[in-house]
Amino acid sequence: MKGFLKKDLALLYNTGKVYLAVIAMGIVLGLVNKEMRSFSSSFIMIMLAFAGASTLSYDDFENGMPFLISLPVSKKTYIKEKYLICFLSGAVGLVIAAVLGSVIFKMPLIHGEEPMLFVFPVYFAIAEIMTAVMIPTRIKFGPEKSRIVGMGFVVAIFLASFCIGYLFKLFSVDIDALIRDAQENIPKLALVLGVMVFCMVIMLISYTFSVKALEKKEF
Amino acid sequence: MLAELDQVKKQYKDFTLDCSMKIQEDCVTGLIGANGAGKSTTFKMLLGLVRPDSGEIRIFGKNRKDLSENDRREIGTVLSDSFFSGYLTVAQLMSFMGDFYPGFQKKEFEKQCGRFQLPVDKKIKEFSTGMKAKLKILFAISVNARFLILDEPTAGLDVMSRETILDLLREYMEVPGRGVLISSHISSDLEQFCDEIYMIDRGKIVMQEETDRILGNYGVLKLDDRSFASLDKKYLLRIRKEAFGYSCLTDQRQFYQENYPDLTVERGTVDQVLTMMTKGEAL
Repeated sequence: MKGFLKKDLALLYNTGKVYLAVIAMGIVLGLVNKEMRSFSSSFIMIMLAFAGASTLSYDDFENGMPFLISLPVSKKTYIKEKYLICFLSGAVGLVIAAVLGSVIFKMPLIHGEEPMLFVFPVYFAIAEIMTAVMIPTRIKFGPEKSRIVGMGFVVAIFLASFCIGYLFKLFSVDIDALIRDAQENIPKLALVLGVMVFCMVIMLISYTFSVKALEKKEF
Repeated sequence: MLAELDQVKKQYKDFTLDCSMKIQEDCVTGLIGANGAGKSTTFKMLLGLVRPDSGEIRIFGKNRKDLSENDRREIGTVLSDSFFSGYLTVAQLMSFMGDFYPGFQKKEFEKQCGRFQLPVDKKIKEFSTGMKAKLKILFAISVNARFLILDEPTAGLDVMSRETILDLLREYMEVPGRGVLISSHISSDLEQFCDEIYMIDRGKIVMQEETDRILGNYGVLKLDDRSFASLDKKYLLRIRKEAFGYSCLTDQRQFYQENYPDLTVERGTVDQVLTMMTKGEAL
């Protein structure tokens, strides 16, 4: 795994300048509009988590995958390393967001609106969940088809959200009241822990799918 | 024996691979065939990139599926159309190759990069085709493996570079117990370098022969219809109708040279033998 990790860190080092622009964009967004501070922090975390997943594209570049799979490392190790690099790049995003949040945006840590200690772990979990969907899709469908499948996921999420919203309306369920109730009655820490556990479950399912997909794949 | 493919079959929509091969230690084995004949598929089977439908693949005496990571470190690979990402530099490759192959000879590799004028700080995607080819071979040789599997390693190289690379491979073979399986379209490379040659056509091995025998004993007879009619055909392997009469492949060139002194008998080359074995008819 060390070899693959060093390889991907080298790739990110060579191609990472674009992420400096992402961070700069996040800073400007948060400074220009105070209400966008939380969004810009989540944006940085998600984009940097995607940076880890982008190493899959670089591996695929000019048909590189057959050679990588022929190296004396198991396919499982290749997959493990991808999840690790996504976790590490997302964690770097979390640290950068935390520094920006406390030093530049002056966001509250525990009390107040959108406290960092509760909100940032949730954003980190969302970023990791998104990469957990991206990795097995990319492994199974390859670079071209995975874009179409990805768009399909987005459409499916929109449709599902629309349907759920419609059903709530049909049965006269007030979603806003439900969310307000949850925020008031469920401790923030429990909510955060719940999201983290959900994230870990998704990562485990995703990892299993990815390993199965790569073991089955022929080059 | 280093590797063996025993009645290995793979069915695709419009192509079937069905081959048996043995790659011996202290031997350079060549695989030659037309585009789409099945060379790369055969190599991919050995590397575990493609699974056979039936048959057995053995490497270092073990079933391919049972190879450990240590066993796989004894295999150095060149694939014609695949390598590390072009966004990496040679210097970066050198920094982590040792993690994949503990036997990676970094200093020697660096020396060879200097010899072949490969810039270590330039991204691989900026290399020319020839530079990429040299880089792939240098890496394969530098991992200090027992068995090299080289798919079209000299494609894109000029004559002088090919000679230098073949010299490197000859040096590599000086260590006992090693072996090379190499495929190439450049038959002169195979003639110079290989101890034995397998010819593959439409997924099937059509011939296996020692290179010295091909060059020493094989020949192509060129004759008109009348001469063909009176010819002793017992040593003819393939015949092919031509405008002038017939071309005939034989593995007993000397017999025809001695008994038919007026006959045009050309020394067999790998290219000619391959053409006759694939396009000619058996008698």
